[in-house]
Amino acid sequence: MANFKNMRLFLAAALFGLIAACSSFRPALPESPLPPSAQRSLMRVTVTSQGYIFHRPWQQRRTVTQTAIGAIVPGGRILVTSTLVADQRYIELETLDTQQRQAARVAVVDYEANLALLEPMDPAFLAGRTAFELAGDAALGDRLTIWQVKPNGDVLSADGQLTSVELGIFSLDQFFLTYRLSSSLQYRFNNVTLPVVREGALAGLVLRQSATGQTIEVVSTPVIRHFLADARDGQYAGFPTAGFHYGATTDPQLRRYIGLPDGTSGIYVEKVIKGGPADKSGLRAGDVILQMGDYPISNEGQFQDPLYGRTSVVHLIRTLYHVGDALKLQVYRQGKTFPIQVVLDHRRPDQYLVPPYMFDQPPAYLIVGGLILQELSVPYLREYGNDWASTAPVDLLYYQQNQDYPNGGEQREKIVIISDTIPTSYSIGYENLSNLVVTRVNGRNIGKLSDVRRALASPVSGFHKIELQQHPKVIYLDPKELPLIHQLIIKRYRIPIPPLTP
Amino acid sequence: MPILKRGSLFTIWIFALIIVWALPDIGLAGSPIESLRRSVVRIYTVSQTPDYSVPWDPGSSQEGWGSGFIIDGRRILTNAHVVSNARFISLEKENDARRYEARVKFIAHDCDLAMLEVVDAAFFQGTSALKLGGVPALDSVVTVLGYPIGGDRLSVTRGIVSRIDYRGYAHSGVDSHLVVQIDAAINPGNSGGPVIQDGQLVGVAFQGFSGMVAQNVGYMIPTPVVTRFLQDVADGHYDSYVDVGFQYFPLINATERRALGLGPGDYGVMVGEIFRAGAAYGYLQTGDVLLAIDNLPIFADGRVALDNDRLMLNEVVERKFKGDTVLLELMRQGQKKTIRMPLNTPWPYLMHANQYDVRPRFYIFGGLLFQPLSSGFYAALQSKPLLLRYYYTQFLEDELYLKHPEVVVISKVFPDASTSYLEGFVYGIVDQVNDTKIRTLNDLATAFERPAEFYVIHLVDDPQPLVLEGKAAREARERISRQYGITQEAYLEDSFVPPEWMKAQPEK
Repeated sequence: MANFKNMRLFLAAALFGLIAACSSFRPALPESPLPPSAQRSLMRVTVTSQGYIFHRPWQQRRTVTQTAIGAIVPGGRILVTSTLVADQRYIELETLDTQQRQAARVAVVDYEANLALLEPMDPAFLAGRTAFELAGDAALGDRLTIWQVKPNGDVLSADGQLTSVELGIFSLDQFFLTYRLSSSLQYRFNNVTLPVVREGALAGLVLRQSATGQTIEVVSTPVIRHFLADARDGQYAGFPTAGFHYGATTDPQLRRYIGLPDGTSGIYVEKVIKGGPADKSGLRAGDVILQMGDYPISNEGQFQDPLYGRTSVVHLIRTLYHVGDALKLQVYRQGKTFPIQVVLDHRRPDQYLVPPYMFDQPPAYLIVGGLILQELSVPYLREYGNDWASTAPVDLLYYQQNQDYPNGGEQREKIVIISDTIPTSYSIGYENLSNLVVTRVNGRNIGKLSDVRRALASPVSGFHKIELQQHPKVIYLDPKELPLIHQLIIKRYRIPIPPLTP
Repeated sequence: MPILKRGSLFTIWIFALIIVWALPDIGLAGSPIESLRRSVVRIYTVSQTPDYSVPWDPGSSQEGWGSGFIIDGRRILTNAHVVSNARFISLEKENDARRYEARVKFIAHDCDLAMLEVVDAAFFQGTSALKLGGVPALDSVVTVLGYPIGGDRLSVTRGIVSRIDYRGYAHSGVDSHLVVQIDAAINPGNSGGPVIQDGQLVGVAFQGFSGMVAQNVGYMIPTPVVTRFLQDVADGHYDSYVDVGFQYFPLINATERRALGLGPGDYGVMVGEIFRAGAAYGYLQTGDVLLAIDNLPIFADGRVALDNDRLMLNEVVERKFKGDTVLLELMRQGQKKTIRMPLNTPWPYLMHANQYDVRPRFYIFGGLLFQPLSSGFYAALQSKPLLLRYYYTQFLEDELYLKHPEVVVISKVFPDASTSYLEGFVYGIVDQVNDTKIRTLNDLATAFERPAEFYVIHLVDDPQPLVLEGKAAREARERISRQYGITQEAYLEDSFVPPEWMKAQPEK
């Protein structure tokens, strides 16, 4: 049997050239035996997705088809990563043993925690399948098994040791508790994710493989538990936030300045986001948080997790609590210690000045006389390429990096920009206008795209007056000409024009 | 954005040089060039360039050479970039074995011109002064004299005038003036050499394109710019160019013209962005339509008819001086108006200008190095975090200079027992120290010289305060200076911020 297995390895290596080189580095861990039900608790998921081009918001990218191995969980659902299903147009499930296929839909998705639950169109599709139980939290040093699936549906296991448990990026700059396994995946077969199993129970989903191929990052069990628990009642709320920024209190000069006694440990509240949960509970910048729940907090912002040891408070707030839970804080302020209760809440992407992500919906835009207007978003900035953080216009990036400090202090829900201009005979002289922030239209302040629609209903002295933050500061359009220009654009460029009436 | 130019699309290279050697010069031939060559000089320099990452150090020194020429009054003209940051300048002329020491009398970095004087008057024996001519015609032939690479003796090349245009001057990186493009082979070392037509000076060779980008493209500074320089320094001081301080928007769009009350036609530009530190602030309003400047009608693309040519309207202002005014005819909300507006130099644009003949400003306190943002400092940064990029790039447009005429940056933390926890504050911008708002490096120095138990530094966009204990900072001072070879703890001269802006925010 061992020989046969080695031969299979050899064949696979020959087939998959580069990956083969890694096989010689395989850790010498003996592979865990697979339970007979392995094939019946997994599902191959093929997703075709199509995103939008934010610089040409009426246009879609070419379709991309990806596969992954999902884990069947109780409730007739399949757990995968959200990266797989972002902007999905068609999802298909396939059984590993019988190769039967059926379309599926997204039941719950969380783009921050990078998790999604899928449902087959007909629940009967899962009849006779075995759902995973969720594993208990793994401890450092535990051996976990990654289940890989060959194209023919055979399940192979790769063992890995849990070497570190700490915050890591899940997707979109979102930090959650991550398991790091020392292992390598010779048989990933381009699957976006694979299940990670501990003693036959589901312990995680593969996020990514390190560049050297020696470390696998995994969505940790506590995050999956939080997600599944939240999804159970059909009212998915998301992972909570408390709405404050903190810094360390390790610097003795800072400690003496704020009068923090020696032996008292905690984190310094740098800023409380206006209108957020911490703000509503009365937490103030300059406070020192000594304790969260039952956990004392270290000077660097860590608590002692019973299983993982020193772990960031970000994990505590986001994953050990749910939306609506009251987080008890012990707060030190001007020599006094007192409790504060923060009722945690989720911050949706549309609650940001510059939304951090937008999936599954076409970007909203307007075309007014050839000017393309839309709301500034991170996906828009990401269109500047992989190094968008340095190549996108710096004034627009600054809005994104400083979400809590809108320039000028005025309350804008969103930043409306003229992203580009479509040249026609009517827009001669305007063709170079792009990435300009719209401040007012016909004398009305613009705080979101729908304000533009409303303002266009009342031209001033027979013209639409559009005021910009940057040079040239003001441009005019003729309301009478707009239908003509729009017809021209539809005819010549085949660009759809959204209705301008509110 | 025609008024305040910011570099150009292509990298313009400057003919500044590093290698020096000289061969004795022999005899003259009898040719038309014979009298001209008596006006050309070779300029040797030793210059020192400061290192903004070690601002207390004198900087590294380089040797270089360029060309120059003699005009009346025993004056020698060359490019500013030939003699920038010079510590020692010497001259050589044809048929003379001696080297003569020279000094910079006037230097204009904004138009890349400098005037030298020679210590020993004997230098001028046997020389002749060049007379200034006009702007050469398109397609006419010019002769370039100088000392380019490829040999040691005087080199002569010829070319035709390819284009007369308004372009960026690479030396400062931010200024644009009239230039004449010629197709003569101009090479490194030609800088500062005369361009001649009919025995008269018609330009100063100064920059070109790298062969990677274009072939046979050389630029010279034409005589209107040279004449302006000579007039500016006539009072013994160079005042630099003046500007109107706004951006205009060409009125090409028919709807925009109608909305502003103009009929179809060729005239008028709209006033767009007006800079608070510029001349137009308080005189013009966004949306004004400019119709004429000094009685010259303005075409819709921002050009005026001048010198039998269509030149950018800036050219009218280009020829003016500090204290001069400009007469603007405009239409504001349908009403015609005439405004006489005094001109000034809108200093915030100097943020992006290459700085020469100045030392880096800095201040060291509590193991922290503080430096104001400038082009030299920005170029020396190893990483450019968004906050610094924003403050540097948008300094003018977003009027960041109103709160921070100098953007004071924590550029380095000297590792020491007193700075163990401060590394994370590097590249922060100082907003406030204790109760004092920090507008300039001088404000910062004053704040730290005031005795205090704690110095609490508040940074821009970073709510975590940086706390320095007065006692610990003072105790660490000498130790850190000794440890890191810091020969000087502050240099507070040489700011590009005008004195009235250093003090407080001026209100108009």
